Formats: sequence, structure tokens, C-alpha cells
Amino acid sequence: MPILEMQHVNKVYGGVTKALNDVSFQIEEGEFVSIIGPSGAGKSTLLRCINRLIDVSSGVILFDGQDITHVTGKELRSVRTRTGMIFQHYNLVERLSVIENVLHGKLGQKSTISGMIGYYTEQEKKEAFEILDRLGLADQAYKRCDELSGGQKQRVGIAQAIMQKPRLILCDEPIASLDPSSSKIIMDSLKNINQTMNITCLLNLHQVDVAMNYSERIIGITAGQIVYDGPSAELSQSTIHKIYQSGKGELITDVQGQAV
Amino acid sequence: MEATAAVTQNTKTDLSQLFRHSRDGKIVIRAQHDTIGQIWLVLLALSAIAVLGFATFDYKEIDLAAALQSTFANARIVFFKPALTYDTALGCLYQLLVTFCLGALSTILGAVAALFLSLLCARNLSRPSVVNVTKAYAESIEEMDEGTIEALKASGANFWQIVCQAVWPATVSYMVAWTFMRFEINFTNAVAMGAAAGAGGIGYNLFMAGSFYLDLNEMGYLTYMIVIAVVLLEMLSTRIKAKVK
Amino acid sequence: MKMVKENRDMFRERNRSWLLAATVVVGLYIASSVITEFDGIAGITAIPKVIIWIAENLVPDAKAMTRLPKILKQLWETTMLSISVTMAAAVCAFFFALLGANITRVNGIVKRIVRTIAAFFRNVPDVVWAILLMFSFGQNILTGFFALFFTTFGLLTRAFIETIDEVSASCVEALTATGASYMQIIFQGVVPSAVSGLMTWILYMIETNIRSSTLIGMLTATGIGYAFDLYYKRLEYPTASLVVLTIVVLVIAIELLSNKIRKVIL
Repeated sequence: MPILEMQHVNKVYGGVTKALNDVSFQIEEGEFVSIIGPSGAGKSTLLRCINRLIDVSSGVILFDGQDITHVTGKELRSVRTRTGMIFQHYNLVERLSVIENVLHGKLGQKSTISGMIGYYTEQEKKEAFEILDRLGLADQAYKRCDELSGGQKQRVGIAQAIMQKPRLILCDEPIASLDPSSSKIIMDSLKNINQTMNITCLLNLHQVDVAMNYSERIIGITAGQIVYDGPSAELSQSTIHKIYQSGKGELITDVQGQAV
Repeated sequence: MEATAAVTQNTKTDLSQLFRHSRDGKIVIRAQHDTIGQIWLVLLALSAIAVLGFATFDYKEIDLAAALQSTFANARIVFFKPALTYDTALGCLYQLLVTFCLGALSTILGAVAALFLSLLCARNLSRPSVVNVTKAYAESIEEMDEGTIEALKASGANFWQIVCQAVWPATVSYMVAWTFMRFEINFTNAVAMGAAAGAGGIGYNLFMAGSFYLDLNEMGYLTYMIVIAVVLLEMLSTRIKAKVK
Repeated sequence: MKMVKENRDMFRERNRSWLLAATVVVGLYIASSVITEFDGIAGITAIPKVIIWIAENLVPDAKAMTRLPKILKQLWETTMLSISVTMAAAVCAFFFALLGANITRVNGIVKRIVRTIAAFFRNVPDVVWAILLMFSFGQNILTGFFALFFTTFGLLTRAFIETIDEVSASCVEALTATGASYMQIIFQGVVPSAVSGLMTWILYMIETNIRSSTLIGMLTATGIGYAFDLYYKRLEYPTASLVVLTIVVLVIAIELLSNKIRKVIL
């Protein structure tokens, strides 16, 4: 059974703009899938539909066999608890400590009151430290997030997602604001948790070469429609041009393509 | 390098060495440089003062419920039945104009004085500091890019050339925003002064209508005039601020 | 060539708009002077005379100093009133702001209603409230309290809405994605992100309210404003000026203190 299944999903903004147009695909448990496509193609909308930060206009979303298209309240929170999310701009509570931000991953599983006052058990705190250690940030635990570098903040974001013990992690442009060396750390970390913890990863990426390096499968989106869905090894230059709707020599990857 | 430390599994140092413990032995999760805790302390102190205030105020045995009820009834007359008896609409408009002019005068005079003083105060123009009356302007000048001033100094520009070519264009939008904010405040102050000190303008009419003629309807009329004027002023200032930017 | 011309046009246009602005300001100044019968030159030349008059009449004398304890008591009441008003209004404004902010609102209709109520209380001047409340409350501290409360509440609601929207949009999305509930998001995300901004506004309002409550006090016959009015109307200028001096010292002290707090918390 696939962990995630999208069936004919459409998203229309303001009755006119079609952000998603008949999107259908399946993701198996443990997969590491990258979504590529030009800016404004609907990649972010697609990810946000999966954990229902955005409601779809029509179609069905099955998560772990359950139809989550219209779930609300407690059930919706339970779905979100089982799905981690990582953002381009990290979206941490910058004023709080690193360890507090990691512990936020547990909020969905706590009672409202203890979550509100930020009460966590000793076991949860130790767990958060272990996850931070795994990402090489344990010694930064008592720093405020606004004291960290971009790459470190993104690792806190990953730690928070792991803290949820999710089945699936959604990554919205996780390395778009990072320098190459931090980007590598982040991608390696994601790949690592995908392989060792068997957490399914679905990423939006701008960098085609990164997507091809790290993932076995790539989904290409243009103007809200899937134009490619298959192994990254079979992604040809002409398909890339089709995804980005560009002519030969217009893409930065073209230069690399010739060099290799 | 960090890259190798990124996904460490083997170098498991004893994590408990990193834990900080509170007095009751629990693991602390607050940040080391925690400002939020300090803010809560300040808020707590202020709340304590407020409670102390409420407890010690001399209420003179007032019947709060009755007073609130009659205030509500009066407010309904003021806001739902505005009418003029003692003043004419034109006369009120003229008094509104007087208040507006008082606000404008105090703002213009204040702004001119502040502008010159701030030029002397701003430290990056390295002039002897006078009095720090004009904090806002001086700060906006100090916030501007040092590089521009340096470049002009390097090209041999004198003090006034620097002011006209670099300081003025770079800080004018900030100053306009501040001046307009001040103007709005000065306008409401002029209303209050008219009412409290008999300084003329619409505020004085308000005082007469309320405290002398005891005419709630007239008060309502005047209130609406002032509110409309304030809203128009706010719209104007948003527009000008957007334009200067 | 064309670009040079365009540049020149741009400069000309800029110069023209500056000229326009200067004309408007000068025109406004002249018109205002005529209407309010204010003579700028006479005003400036009168400054030395004013200073001499102040030196002769307004320096607190021995009689004024005997009234100091009484004045300080009134000053204390005014300070307490400003802090109490601001804190009470801040608590109400915070909950209203949560309903009125775009990212924490419950629904669009409630948001509109909240913003309209805030705009109403913000734009009706505090003197109107003071006069209105005088009818029912008389010369009572509650007159000043409610008059200041309404305007402070309106101002703080708007300020808090802006602070919350500006500061916490991103972390609210992230916390929603973890499955946190509304109250958890507010207390773990919005409050920690916005609290220093809210604090700054509260400090600013305390400063403003000390000034306003002086003016309001003249109307409602309470606090330090009443003390000033009383001595001034009795022609006891040295005592009246002592009142003003104590107010100035208080305002400066509060400003210094809040600047210090601001520096520590930001």
C-alpha cells in the first residue's frame, strides 16, 4: 500500500488561476522523491495540500490508506503530526532556544494545556537532545535560534520534524537559501534519516542536479501539471527543457550537461 | 569541518554532560541568553503596580454599575443623535481649521528647529553635540549609510555640501514619516489643549458643549467632526509617506 | 543620449516636487499664522522677555516647597493611573488583536468587527470620553481611567495587530504543520515571537499616558493635572511651575527607564 496517493487533485485560486491541474501520483513507503519545476509551477501548493495547510478544490488525497481530503479538527491534527514539514526560511520561533524549537515537534501529541505552557517530560527532553546530537547540534541546544547560521537553523527544522516521529517529511525548498556546503549537510541529513529511519521524503527542489544526485525518482511539474514522473536516471535534457519550458542553452544546467 | 560532523552516529559523547539542570533536578530548556523570561518579569512587575494602583485608588464610593449604565445612555445620544444648537456648522468648521492650524504651526516650528539641531547632534557628521532635543531626526541621520558620507568627504565636500547631497536625500522619507506622526499627535493635543486649557479651536467648543451647555447632541456633532478630520489626516499622511518612499 | 534626457527630466521633476512641497509648507505656515493670529517674529523676539519673566515668577519659592509632599502624592497617583490604564488596556487589546490579526484570526467577519471597534476607540479623542464620563462619574479617578483606557485600548489593538502579523507569520505556519492546536500555537509561537514588540508598545503607551493624564486631569479635576490647574488659577505661579517641573522630571525618568528596559530586552 502506498503511503501517499494523490488522485486527480485540482486547486483553483479565486475561481480562475489553476495552481494544480489534475495531479495524480503515488509514493511508496521509504521513497525519496524530488519535485522539480519552474517558480510558480505549483510545487509549494502541492506540498501544502498534502498536510492540508491548503485545501484542495477537488480530487482525493490518501495518506497511509486514509482519505484525508476533508478531515478536520483532531483528525487533521493527527495527520499533521504524522507528517513533518521543512521550510525554505526555516520558520522557527527565533526567540526561543534550539531545544525548545525541537520540542515543538511534540506539540501535536500533547494535551493543549501542557503544550501551551511548554511542559515536556524528561524523556521527551532527552529524546530531543539525542536527535540534535544526531544532527551535530547538541552543543548548540541552549542557544537562541536567532543566534544560529542558516544551515544550523535548517538542521533544527529537521530535528523538529524528526521529533514528530513522522511517516513522511515534506521539504519545501530546503536548501534554496543556503550556501553549497550547508546545502550538502542538509541533503545528506535528509538522505540519512530517509535510509536509517525509513521516513519517506518528498522534496521541492530548484536545483535539478541536486535532485538527480539524491533521489531515485523525480516528478516534474509545469503550470500545475505533472509532465514527468519517473526514475531520475531516465530524466533527459529534453525533458528538463520541457519542464522548464525553455530553449537549448537557456538553463544553467545545460553547461554542466555538456561538460559531463 | 562541519560537513563531517553533520550526521554523527558514532561519536556519541555523553549527552547528559550538556544538560543544564534547574534546582529541582529537571532538565532546563530555556535559552541561555533568555530575554523572554526578562520580559515576563517586567510585565509581572508592571501588572503588580497596576493591581496595587487599582487597590489604592480613591474611588469615593461610586456606584460603578449605575455610572456605567448612564455613561452608556449618554454615549448613545452622543454617537447616534448628533445635532447642533449653539454653534453653526460653518463656525465649527472654522474652529476645526484653527485647531488644524495650531497643530500645523507647532509641527512646522518644531520641525525646523529640530532639523537644524539634529544636524548638529548627529555624531557621524562630527560636529560638537548640542542638546539632544531632536532624537528622532538625529537617529535617522545616524542610521544612514556611513559609506556615502565617507565617499563625499573623500571627494573634499564640505559640511553643507554633505548635508545637501547625502544626508538630506537619504533621510528625508524617514523624517517626513516622523513629522507626520508628530502632526497627528499635535492635532489631537491641540484639541485636548482647547478643551482643558481653553486654548481655542474645536476643543474649546467641545468643552463648552459638554461642561457648560451640557448638550450631548452638540458634543456628538463636534466629535464626529474631529474624528473625520483625524481620519482624513491619517489618510493624507499614509499617502504622502508612500509617495516620498 | 535618451537616457541622459530621461535623467534630466527625472531631476527636474524631483526639483519641481520639492519646490511644491516647500511652497505648501511655507503657505501653510503663513495661513496658520494669520488664522491663529500668531506672529512668528514677535514670538522669537519675545523669547528673552519670556525667560526673564520665568526667572522672576516661575522659580519655585519656599511656599511652593512646602506643598511638595502634596504635589508628589498627586504625581504618584497620576503615575499609578497611567500604568494601571496601560496594563488593563494591554490585556484587553492582546485578546482583541489575536482576533483581528490576519494570521491568528478566527474568521473574516470577527476580524472586520474587531478592527472597526479598535478604529472607533482610537479615533475618538480622549477629551471627548473625559467630558462624557464626567456626566456620570463626576470628579472621580475612574473618569480619567476610562477616558484613557478607551483610547489606549484602540491604539494598542492596532499596534498589537501589526506586531503579530509582522512577526509571527512564518512560525505559525510551521507550528500548524506539526499538528499543534490553536492555543498551543498562540502560546508557543505567537507570544514568544511578538512579546518584545508588544512590550515596546506598552512602554510607549505608559509614557504617552502620563502626559495625557495630566491634560485629562485638568478636565476631570484629578491627579497632577488638577494640582497644576488649581495653583495656576490661584495665581500661585511658583507652585504651578514646581508642578510642571516635577512632571518634566517624571516624564524624563520614565523615558530613561523604559529606554533601559528596551535595551535589555531587545
